[in-house]
Amino acid sequence: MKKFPLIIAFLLMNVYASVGQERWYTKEAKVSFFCDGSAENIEAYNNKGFMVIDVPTGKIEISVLMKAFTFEKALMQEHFNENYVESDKFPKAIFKGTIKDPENIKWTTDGEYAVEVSGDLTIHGVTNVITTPAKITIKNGVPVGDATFIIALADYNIDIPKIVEDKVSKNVRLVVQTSLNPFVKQP
Amino acid sequence: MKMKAWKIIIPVVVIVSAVTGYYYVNRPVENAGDMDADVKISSTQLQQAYEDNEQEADSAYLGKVIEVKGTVLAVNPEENTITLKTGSDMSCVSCEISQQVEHDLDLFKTGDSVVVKGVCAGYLMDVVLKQSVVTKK
Repeated sequence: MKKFPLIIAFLLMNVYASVGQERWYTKEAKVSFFCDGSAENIEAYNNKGFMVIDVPTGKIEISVLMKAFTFEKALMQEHFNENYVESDKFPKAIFKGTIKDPENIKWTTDGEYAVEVSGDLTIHGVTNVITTPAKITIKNGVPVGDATFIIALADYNIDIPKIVEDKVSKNVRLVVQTSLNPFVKQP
Repeated sequence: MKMKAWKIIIPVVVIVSAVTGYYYVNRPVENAGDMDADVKISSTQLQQAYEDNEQEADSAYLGKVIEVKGTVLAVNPEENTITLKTGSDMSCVSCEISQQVEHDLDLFKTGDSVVVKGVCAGYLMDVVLKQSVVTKK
């Protein structure tokens, strides 16, 4: 019975955490990569992205390690790292942007919110401004973010070797889909 | 007689190289268990190296096969991940376990001493290892 007040305090803390949450983050953001090809489609998955959303300002940041993308075939993974994104030289891709009209999102009410995000996307050492539609879904008080970035490889100085030039698309899709955790400052 | 031998040798060579080529192109991503470790280090030292100087740590560890000794912080079968404790409260070594090896992650729990061999993918909030295999120490 002595534990009872403790449990109440713990529950209250949780309520506080979800109501007054100003920042959401995850170290396990899911970012996938799709490139359509005539011979075969190339896809890769990365479950180790870092993402943070600052609720009051609508600021959003997503970063991924290029070497954390997993391909089905080792050769694809090697080509991706060595010939395309040169991950030894440019180990990360980073998006730093903002959600347009963040006040339209009711972070404490379950629902789906269509938003627009825009900001700087840096891949392969090249930064471009990009705007894309996105979706924030609040489910049981927890936000889930969905966004697709369609990017032209040429914009990021990523060369497609002549030999496969006709076989792969010049655009790739980067799909972010991930749920977030409340960011609690360490005591 | 000579012609006859060639008639056999040439198709055999063609078939063998085609099959080898096919397997080379389609081979799956290896797990780190089959590779020799380039570096042996503790999880605390590895994270500290990244916290101190990310660029230097990248040149020493990025893309390398690393054998990391450490204590399990958390096991996450859903993410197919085991995290290792470091000297920092905010940062760990996050090891994505290889799909090529059968692992029963239920056998591991917080506090276990383990050795993880994986390929270092770099540092965001955590040091990330990929294609990892984990063994109890």
